[in-house]
Amino acid sequence: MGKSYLSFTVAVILQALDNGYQYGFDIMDVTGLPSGTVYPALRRLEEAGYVGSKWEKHTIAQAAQRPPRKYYELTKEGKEALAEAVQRYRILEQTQAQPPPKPKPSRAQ
Amino acid sequence: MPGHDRHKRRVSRPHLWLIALAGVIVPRRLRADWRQEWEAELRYRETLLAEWDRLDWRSKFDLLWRSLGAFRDALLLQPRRSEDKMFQDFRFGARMLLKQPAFTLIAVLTLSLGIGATSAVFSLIQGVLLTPPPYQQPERIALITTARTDGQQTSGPRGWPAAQWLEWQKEAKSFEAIAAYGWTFNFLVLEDGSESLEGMFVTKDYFRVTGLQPALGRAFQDSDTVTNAPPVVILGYDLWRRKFNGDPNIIGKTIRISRRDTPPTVIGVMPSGIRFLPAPSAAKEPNYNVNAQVDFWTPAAPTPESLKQPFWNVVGQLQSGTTLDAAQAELAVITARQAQANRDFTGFTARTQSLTDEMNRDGRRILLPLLGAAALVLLIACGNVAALLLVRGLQRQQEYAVRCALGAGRVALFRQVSTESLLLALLGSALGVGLAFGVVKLFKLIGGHAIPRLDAVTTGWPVLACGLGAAVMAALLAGLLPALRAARLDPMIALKDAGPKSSAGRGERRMLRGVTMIQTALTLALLVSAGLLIRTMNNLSKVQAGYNTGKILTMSVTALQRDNRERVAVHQRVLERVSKLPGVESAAFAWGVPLTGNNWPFGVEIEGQPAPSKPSDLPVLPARSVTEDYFKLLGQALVAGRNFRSTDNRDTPDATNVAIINQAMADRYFPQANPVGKKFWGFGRNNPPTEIIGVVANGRTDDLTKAAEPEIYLSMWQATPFTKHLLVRTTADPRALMSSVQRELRAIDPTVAVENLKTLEEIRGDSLASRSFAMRLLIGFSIVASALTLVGIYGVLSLSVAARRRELAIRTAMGAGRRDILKLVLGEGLRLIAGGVAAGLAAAIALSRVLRSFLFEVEPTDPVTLITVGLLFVGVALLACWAPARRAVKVDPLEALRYE
Repeated sequence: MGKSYLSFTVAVILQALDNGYQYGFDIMDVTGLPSGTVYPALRRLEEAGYVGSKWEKHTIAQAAQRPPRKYYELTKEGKEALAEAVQRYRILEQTQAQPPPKPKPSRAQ
Repeated sequence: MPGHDRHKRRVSRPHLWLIALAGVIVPRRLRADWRQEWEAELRYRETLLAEWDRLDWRSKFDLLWRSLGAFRDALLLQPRRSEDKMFQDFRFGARMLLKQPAFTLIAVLTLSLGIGATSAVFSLIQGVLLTPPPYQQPERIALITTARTDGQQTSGPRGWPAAQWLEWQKEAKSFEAIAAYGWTFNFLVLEDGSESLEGMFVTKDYFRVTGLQPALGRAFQDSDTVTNAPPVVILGYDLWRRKFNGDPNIIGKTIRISRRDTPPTVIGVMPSGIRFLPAPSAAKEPNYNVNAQVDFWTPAAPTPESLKQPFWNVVGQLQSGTTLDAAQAELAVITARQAQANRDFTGFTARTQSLTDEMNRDGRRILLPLLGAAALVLLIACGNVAALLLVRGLQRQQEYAVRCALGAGRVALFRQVSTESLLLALLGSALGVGLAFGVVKLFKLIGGHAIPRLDAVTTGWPVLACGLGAAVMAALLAGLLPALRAARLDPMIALKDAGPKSSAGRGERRMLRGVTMIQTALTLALLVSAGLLIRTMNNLSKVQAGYNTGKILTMSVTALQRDNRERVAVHQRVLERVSKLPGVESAAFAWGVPLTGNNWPFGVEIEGQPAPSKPSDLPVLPARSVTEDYFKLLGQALVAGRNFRSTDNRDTPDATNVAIINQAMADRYFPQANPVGKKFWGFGRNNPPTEIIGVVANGRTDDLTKAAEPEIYLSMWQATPFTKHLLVRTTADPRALMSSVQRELRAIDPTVAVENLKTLEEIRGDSLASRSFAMRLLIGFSIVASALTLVGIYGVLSLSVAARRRELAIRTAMGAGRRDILKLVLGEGLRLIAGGVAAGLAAAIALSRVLRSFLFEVEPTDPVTLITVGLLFVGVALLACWAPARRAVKVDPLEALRYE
């Protein structure tokens, strides 16, 4: 994934991550993108080094009696790529000033 | 991954089922994490919705909808599955191969020989057989040839009268277009020695049928063929480049060619690579070569007075969807009707042939058996490498067992071993392709006359592609068995054995023996084929041709058209001056030098023979035209009558046309009588008769492999060919006289074209080129195959001796002598070889039938060849057994038993 060829969709996902939406489903909620787009994009971004992933603490998951969730974070390269993408897709600027996320399940998309 | 396995997966909801289902196709390495991520998200969301009391059907549908996206996610992870494992396997395989460089080198070299041979022959096939001619839709182009209605062989090639094909053009619905053409030649007049040109005269539909368009200028139009139209010519690309330096302004210029009063104007230049269409009636012309590139095209149209003369070759473009058979059936109906209406057309019917099939006939005859031979070499090489890999697998059993015990699956082990074979094959292919490039160059050097259109063969992507294909096949053939054995290994048994195995068990030895026997059989098949061709060439060298080919220089000579008196004077002056050159014994002109395929098909009515009832019954005999010294020069004895004289000349008053016939003709047509003084008529009794003045001894002039057929010799001063050969008998090496003879010719006529300088021995060699090329190639392949098989036999026996070390030691300890041990090991070797040889002889009998058309005075099942080759191979193979047998004798019983 070359820096200069970030698609708008990928830039939107990076922007969502930058805005604090770290889980796949949360990114879907906030961007409106389908799961079949968000997850493959996250994997490509991770492979390209723009995004890192970690597993949620085991104790939290255990308490909730479910497997640990995986969350994603922007890396330094990811931030640079996003800045560059924002320059190209000016519309992303409007989403930059959004309030911090409060994970809330959406209804059907 | 933090202990996700502690969470018991409750796959109770449809969305979770979907994740479980999609997870099946996720690469194994990533599967657990992948499933956990999706499950955790879905369950987290489900819990949250339940807590907020919003887990209604719409939310459930949303979860289901999101889970469907997991399939796309899983699908897009597929490349990682193969990539990762493949790279791992390749890395590991490369490391293992580097660890044993000697093994790797031998295996790679072995495979490269097989792959190189196959790729080289394939590149010939690609260039000659698989490259379509440069016509538009060549598969729709059909040649329309003549055949006798009674199914018998025509006595000579015959074309079509224009009156017939002009009707076909109007009536035949099976053809989109029909064109007529002929082969012609001329020569480009240059002041410093001319050059002969070979071209085609074509009707204007030729361009429609072939779909050809000039690269420069225009094609022929109706106006080019009307009476008194200014002569025009289209040049071939090669000629335009070679003689006119690719002049882009050539259109509109005139060129000076012989046999034309007005120099024709160039109206076009054709694209490169356009070759002749077959013109059987011209096939006996000295410069005829259907595989050559056309030098020029001239327009032609039938004239009213020649409508019935059968000299046109006809080609048609089939309607889309029409078959050759349907077209032939339609033409048969039309020709039958034409024959009923006109007696001149009786006895002949039309036969449609695919152009590409006809053009590839000779190439297929020689190249397909050679591809088969090359494939056998590849198979033998694969056999060797398979044996090497099997032995290597034995040595690595411990490693495989450990890897199995540590959790490597059988599939993984199979894949790993196969990857190593593939790596070996790829390395072999790289080297083999390099080898093929060199071999193709060699083929081009030695195969010039044996393979048609060899100049079109290039070494490029086809060789690479074939090399790669052969590599994959080799990897499969050589690697499958070892990989299967590795995958079926029982780790418990392997681990129980201490240390790596250096010898093989009974089962493995049996398998290796089987591989070696197959190799021996294939090698025998190749050796027998080579042996049969060697015998053929040997038989051919002993053939009594009936004339002497040694120390004779020949060259084709074409001079400007002149009136007969001047022409005879020029040619007699040439003979006089050349004969006086130092080192020259005698000189003669001839049209129809032996073994050049050059003669004149002469339809004759012979005195005393019944007149033919229809045109197809007219006997067609090969006629040649020679000067007085010709028979003396070739050493052909005159058995009756007299020789030609210089007075047998068209200009001599009251001179009759005279001819000398050969003994075969005398025997066939005058069995009881003396032919001298008898007459025959060329092309009907309306023409003046020719008197037979002598009988010459038989000579195999057309084909060394065929007994002499009836033939006629005419006096060159009466039958005047345009291009003819000058033959010079020399006292020493004829090649040394090439330049002095050419100098004499140019001194007499500076514009004369002197070409194709060859000795008669070389012409003889060219006439046997396809056989000698096949023989050389088969000898080469057989040597490689034999070497590989001998190495295989050596290897199997060495392994057997190593495996039976203990048994041998016990035998020695029990009193077996050196002789007994030698007998034991050599006996095993002999059984192995004899089995292979027996199978090989059976295979050879089956396969050598393919070579039948190349053989001469030797049968494909020739017992002498079969027995000699079989015995020779057994003898040489026993030598390969000698070293292992010596090793067996030297086994020290004490040491061997202690070791065990």
